[in-house]
Amino acid sequence: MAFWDRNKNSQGLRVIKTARDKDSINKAAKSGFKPLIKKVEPSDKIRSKYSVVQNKKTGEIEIVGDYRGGFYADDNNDFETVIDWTFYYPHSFKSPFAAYLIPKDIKVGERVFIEDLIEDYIGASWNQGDTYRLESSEAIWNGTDVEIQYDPRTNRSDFIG
Amino acid sequence: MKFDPLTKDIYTDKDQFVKTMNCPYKMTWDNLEATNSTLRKCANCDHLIVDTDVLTDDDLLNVVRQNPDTCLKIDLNQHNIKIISNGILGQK
Repeated sequence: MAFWDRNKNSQGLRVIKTARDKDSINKAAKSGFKPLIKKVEPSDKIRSKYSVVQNKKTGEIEIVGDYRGGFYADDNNDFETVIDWTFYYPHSFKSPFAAYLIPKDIKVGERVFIEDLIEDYIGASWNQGDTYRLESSEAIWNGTDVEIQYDPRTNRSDFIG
Repeated sequence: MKFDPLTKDIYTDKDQFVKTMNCPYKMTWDNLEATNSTLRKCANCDHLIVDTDVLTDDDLLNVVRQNPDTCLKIDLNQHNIKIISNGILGQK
């Protein structure tokens, strides 16, 4: 793999880290960062679905996430649906707040790369109704806040990695 | 092939773990240089990215075993994949 500077992204933008608890926020503050505190607020636009089927003989369960049939289809008499299709918010953050760690030397208007977004934006969606969080985004520092440069074209159905 | 979009884990249909997808550059398929219809090249790390739409589970395992750093492309809507949700995520 080519050399990769973890403090810059592939476009050469400075990477803004996120701290997700009190201790790491205070540690960063002591190291010279300005923590920009944000609430962690789940969006109802982010949702995954599941269904639970149970083996009638063994009691064991399986979690299903795809409408497309197969093993758990109705003709498989060993299983019965015990929880029908249900959409839910699939993330659980241990702290209800988090902070972007802003470097002291950041310039107003500087474009940066936020590695771990606190806010919920749709990053991927599936034609079965599930939507997934955008993990990272470019943003612009306006002097008091980061303006997330959300591009709806990032709402895709494919993953690379 | 099975894929969990929350954990980014890929499994075969027989639940054999294949790999966890991770791109540090957050590349998208459109950012990659097309080499043919099923392969693209990443300018950042020189990896080839294989479109799993055309792979069987055996093909997939062979590709990843030969080179564990192989990058993959998965589309939620492709025909040969089942989306799974383990329903439990580690807390951030």
